Amino acid sequence: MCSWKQYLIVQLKRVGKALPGICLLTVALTVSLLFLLKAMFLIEESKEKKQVVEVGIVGDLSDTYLGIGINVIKNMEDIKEMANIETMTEEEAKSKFADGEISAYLLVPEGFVDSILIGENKQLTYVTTKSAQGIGGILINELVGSISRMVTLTQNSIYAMQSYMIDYGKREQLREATMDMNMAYIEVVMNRMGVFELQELGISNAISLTGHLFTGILLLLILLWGINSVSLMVREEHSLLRILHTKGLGAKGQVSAEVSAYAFLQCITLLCVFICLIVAKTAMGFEIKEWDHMDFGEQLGFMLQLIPVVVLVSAMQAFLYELVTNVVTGVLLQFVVAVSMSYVSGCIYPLSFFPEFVQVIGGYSPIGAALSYMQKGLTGQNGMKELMIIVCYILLFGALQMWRRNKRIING
Amino acid sequence: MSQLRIKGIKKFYKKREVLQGIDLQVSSGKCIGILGANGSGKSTLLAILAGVLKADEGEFLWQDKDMLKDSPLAEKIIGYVPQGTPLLEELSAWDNLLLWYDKNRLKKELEDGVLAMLGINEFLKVPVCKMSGGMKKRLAIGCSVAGNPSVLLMDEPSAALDLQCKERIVTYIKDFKAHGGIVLLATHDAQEIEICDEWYILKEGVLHPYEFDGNIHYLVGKL
Repeated sequence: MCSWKQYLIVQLKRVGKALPGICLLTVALTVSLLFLLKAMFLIEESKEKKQVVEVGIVGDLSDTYLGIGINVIKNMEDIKEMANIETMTEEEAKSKFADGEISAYLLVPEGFVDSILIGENKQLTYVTTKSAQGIGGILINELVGSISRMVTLTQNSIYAMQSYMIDYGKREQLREATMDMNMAYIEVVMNRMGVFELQELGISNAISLTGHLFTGILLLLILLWGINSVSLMVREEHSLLRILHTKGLGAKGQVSAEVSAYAFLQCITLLCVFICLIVAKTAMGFEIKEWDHMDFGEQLGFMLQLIPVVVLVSAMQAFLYELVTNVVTGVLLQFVVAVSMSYVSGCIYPLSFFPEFVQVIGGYSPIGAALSYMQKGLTGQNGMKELMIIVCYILLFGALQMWRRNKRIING
Repeated sequence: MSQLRIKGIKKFYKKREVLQGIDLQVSSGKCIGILGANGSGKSTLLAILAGVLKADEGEFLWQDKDMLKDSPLAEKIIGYVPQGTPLLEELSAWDNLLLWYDKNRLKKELEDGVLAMLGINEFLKVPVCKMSGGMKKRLAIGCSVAGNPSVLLMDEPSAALDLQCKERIVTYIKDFKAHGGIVLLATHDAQEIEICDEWYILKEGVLHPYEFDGNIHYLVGKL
């Protein structure tokens, strides 16, 4: 006779035997990934500092004020740091665009100034590629959008002012007023005041980029450290399962005890990772806005909130290990699933970068739901919906593993 | 009267009838040798009797109660030693035994019981992954007989073991019989065949009685 409790105790003993090695490997893996994270942060920072976007402006620039306006924009401090704006012909722009020398160009349509004068704004055309996705693409869109608005608005105001002065018989003061207005614009630029506001786009769940990277990499870590347990989880032979079955402990009891012990192991490794994070954050000087705003108790609370995620990953990995009968296949399967699922679920790049159908699939995938739950936890939002999805997936993976275990008991 | 009866056990794998109505009666203290070529269905028959596989038809009666339908009775009466090593590799013999025995009984069995007879004391603290094949098999038997079963189903228990280890297992089976136990033994091993009281050859899904006279060469021709 073998009871569920006895089997659970034995499984916990197995976990205990394997624990030191697994913890050591997990710490090594965590430290490596933290270095990777640090490197990614540094690269992002350096890109932000160094990257200047090349933008072309083409079209009818013959109007004096338009010419002045564009020159003002070109020389604005804020824009000079981000973009190099060059006037050129449309043919030149097309050729440079094709060669990748410029990222986009702004087309000022013929009769743009005349249209402003009669109160009908012709649209400025912004030309870029569909592939300009990602943060770089979003920044270009924002920048060019801001330039378009500035050009249109300043032109509008100058010509509106001129119309007003002519209509009200102040023609002799027109030159002076125009000069004053241009000077006012230039003064604003020279004073380096924020002439335009670059809208910071949230990645998802109102989380910062570093917060996103932190949760994404942490989830990837949780997925990867399960590989350390391969020798514990892969069964090359089924006779014990059969005997347990004959002694009253069927697939249900076996799987629930094994997954409980495995999830316990994963929770212990989560604790190791938490300690690594605290140490590494101090030593490496990470800045994670959402994390930095928490006190120690809240940080610990956030890590405890991750337990459902750890149980989900444990259930998923236990099911995957159930499908294989040798260690090498087990490692490969876990690695491929971890990397591919974390990619399509938005752990590496935010989901908003993917096509819509991938966003839907990724968002409702086990790892997508887990990531969203973690991000909501980090930003202090309510993640009840995601928690429900996680619980459903835990039950699903448990049921699948029990079904598979039953097959193994019967078929050998 | 026979304590144990197998009545009309049938098993199909898709359309193939692997067991075509197996009938057998066994009295206490007997060891039944089930012989047959590889793939003849010996392991399938034992797995059905142990409750691992489901029979498509038939009964397995212990004192007229069908153990195929009464799992608690089967758990109590039957000890099953399958092929392979039903053990947890990372743990010691002691930890593996604790899965099946409570601590007090385990200590007693190791002192003067069945586990002492199997010589498990010699490697009690050794992790399974560092044990020899013979140690593993003895430990597996020790685990299987934890509930003091009355019927032992053994599937090639001494396959690929050295002579010394085989001798220990054979001694244990003899002792089990002497205490009124029933053994159904699927085997290819000459030494094990010799300790059986009755022999049956399983061929094309049918169990044929066989009179073994010690002539292994003749038996081989019959399989």
